[in-house]
Amino acid sequence: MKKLFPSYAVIITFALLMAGCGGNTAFRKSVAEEQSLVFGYIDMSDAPGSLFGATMKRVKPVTDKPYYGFGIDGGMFFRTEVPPGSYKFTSFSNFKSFGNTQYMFNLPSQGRSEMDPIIDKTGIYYVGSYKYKKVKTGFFEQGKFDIEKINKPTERELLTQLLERAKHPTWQAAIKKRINELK
Amino acid sequence: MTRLIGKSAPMHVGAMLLALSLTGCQHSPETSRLLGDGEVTVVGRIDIVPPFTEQELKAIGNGRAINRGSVFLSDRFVDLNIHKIGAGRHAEVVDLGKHFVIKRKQFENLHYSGVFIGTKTTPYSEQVRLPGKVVYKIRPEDKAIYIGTLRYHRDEYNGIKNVEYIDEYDDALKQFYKIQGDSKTQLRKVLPERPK
Repeated sequence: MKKLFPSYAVIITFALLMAGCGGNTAFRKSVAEEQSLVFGYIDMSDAPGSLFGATMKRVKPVTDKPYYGFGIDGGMFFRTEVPPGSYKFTSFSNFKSFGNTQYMFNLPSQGRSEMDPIIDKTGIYYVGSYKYKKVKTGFFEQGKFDIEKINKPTERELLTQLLERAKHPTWQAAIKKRINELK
Repeated sequence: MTRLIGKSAPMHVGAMLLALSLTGCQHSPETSRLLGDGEVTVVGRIDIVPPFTEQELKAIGNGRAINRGSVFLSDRFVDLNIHKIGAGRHAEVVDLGKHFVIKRKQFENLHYSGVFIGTKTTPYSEQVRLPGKVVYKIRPEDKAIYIGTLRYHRDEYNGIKNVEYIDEYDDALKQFYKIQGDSKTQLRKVLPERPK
């Protein structure tokens, strides 16, 4: 068996840990058990690598374990098991297999952005579709980026994609109902 | 927004360190004149309302950094969003929610850039920046100045909604004399001014 380099081991361990943090990638329990679904999309085509993770923090009520990882499907990020509260997206990460590199994109740590959801009751929360844009900086300046809102994919298109993951009838019904509302 | 690259080759690290050290050497044209060779004692206080909870404090700092912040008071404004090597020389670490008594170089215009709170560098680290961008006019005869209590009101996203100036001179004077050990040095009240 070929021996793995330590860096691969770290990446694999991180990937496995993140996979466990994204809530359920298939919605097998009922809506009542899994609580709210939060999802969105970010086009990272201008960034190195492809979308690998997203992290959101619960800012209210304050908790000992405030960070929520997300499942990834292409550019879509999603997760269930989000209890009521105020949340803030803190970072996105990309992974580039060629070069074996992970990139971390930290969002501003203060203030509420358009993306940050307030979950007041169990439901389906779309936080928007965005595109990563690199901001040009000077030769020796720190790298910067911006994210801008885009119209595509729409909430409806993303929900249609998520419907495949809805294994429990209550999730199928809830997602279909929302899709019909968006027609 | 900041992009952090997770992996770097040693050569890149060397180049970055060189670049950062060079940028730290740049002399800003908007710096203030030094009044003599002396220092001035600055007395003030930074309050955050509501105060950080225990969980928030754990996420922001650790060990001796808990509930402390770097107050940027120097001859120039420093961008708290850019981490430049050597920027620490423009700041002094103080306890939040208590009167502080610190020594700064006696610049004619003492620039207050704000407060940086946070020490951790992990992906789940928190950093809070309290805005400043005001100037305190120092006189050549000043040995000690009082800049008041700056009370920052925050929301749940740590966004700063407003900043209140509170005059707690009498309490601050007691603290100043306690630390200074004499009650002869005059503590002059200085109000913040907008930079020109």
